[in-house]
Amino acid sequence: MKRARSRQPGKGGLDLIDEAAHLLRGASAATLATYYLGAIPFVLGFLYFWTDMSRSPFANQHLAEAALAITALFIWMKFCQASFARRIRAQLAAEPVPRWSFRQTVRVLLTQAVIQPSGLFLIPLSLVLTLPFAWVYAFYQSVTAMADADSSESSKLVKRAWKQTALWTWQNHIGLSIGLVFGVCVFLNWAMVAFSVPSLLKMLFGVESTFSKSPAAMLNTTFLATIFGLTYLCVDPILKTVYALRCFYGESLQSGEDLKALQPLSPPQLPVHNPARRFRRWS
Amino acid sequence: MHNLAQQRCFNHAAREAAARCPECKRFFCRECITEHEDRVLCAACLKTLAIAPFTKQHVFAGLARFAQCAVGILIAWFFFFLIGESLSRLPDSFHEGALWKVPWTEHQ
Repeated sequence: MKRARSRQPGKGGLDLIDEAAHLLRGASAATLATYYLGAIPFVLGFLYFWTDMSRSPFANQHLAEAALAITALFIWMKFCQASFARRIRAQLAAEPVPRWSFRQTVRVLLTQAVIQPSGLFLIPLSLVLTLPFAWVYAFYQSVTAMADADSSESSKLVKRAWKQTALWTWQNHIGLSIGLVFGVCVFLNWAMVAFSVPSLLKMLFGVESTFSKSPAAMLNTTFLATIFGLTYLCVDPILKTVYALRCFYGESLQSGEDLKALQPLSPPQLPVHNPARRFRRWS
Repeated sequence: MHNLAQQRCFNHAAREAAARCPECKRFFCRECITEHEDRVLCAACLKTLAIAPFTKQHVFAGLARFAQCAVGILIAWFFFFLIGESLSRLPDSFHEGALWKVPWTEHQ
């Protein structure tokens, strides 16, 4: 019976992205703030690290400490993303956001710290090998999307995430392909904005800079890292929402949570016939 | 051999017994028992079973989790260390984008 249900065709990749975009647009400011509370410090910290390591002649002297600081920011970002996914799942289930106690918060943080760092090596490696990329990427996204107080043990979370990764493979590939193409478009958009800003400043306000004199001066690794960071901040919340949706629908095959979310919270308010009210209106 | 039909609930003397707890061997009415891992248990035994494994594994589970977390942090630290090391070793001409302006023949 369970096998039959798991063979049910899932939503199309495009439909899933469409639903994710709508869900993200309807998300509260607190939900988005939860995501960016982790992502912005990491991106800024990483850009500082990148610039420092590529420019400073004394970078090697404090490389270990800087790498440790970036590691702390990375784990903090993963925790915030797990919290963001929990809010998205609550929004999907039409339930209030479950509150984590201090102990549960520490457990989720530790679980993310145990699982996510391996993705730093495995995701680029799978990208080089190409074929396993979609599964590896989906697995780490599912680990973020399914982090909750119930999965405080890493082994349980790994099992649950792997189960969702294996589900609806075609949907995963299509969704990821669209996400990558979208990411490239956003990257090009940011690059064009960055290229045009110095010339616009010169044209409108007369501000002369190195970049307005020679746009080729922008072609350095820090510029590329900055554009990549901005692209990540724009695209990643959508991808996180897509995988939160995938996990929600995947788990609903057994829990029926999606059907519960469809039911109205309270019976519809029917218009009440009140003759006295009509009488007052005409008198 | 006790006959279930003749027994009374351990907690409610006025009620007839519906099941016997396999742990404490006492009889209970249908409100005092529950199913846990395909066995019908009383509330007191269920509470004992739920707490016992946790306390036994608590110390080792905490240590194992701490060790796993330390390994995870070490992996992430090593990744960022490698990135920093690679960036600092690359020549300035690469970072400034000047590397591409020099003809390939001059590099060799």
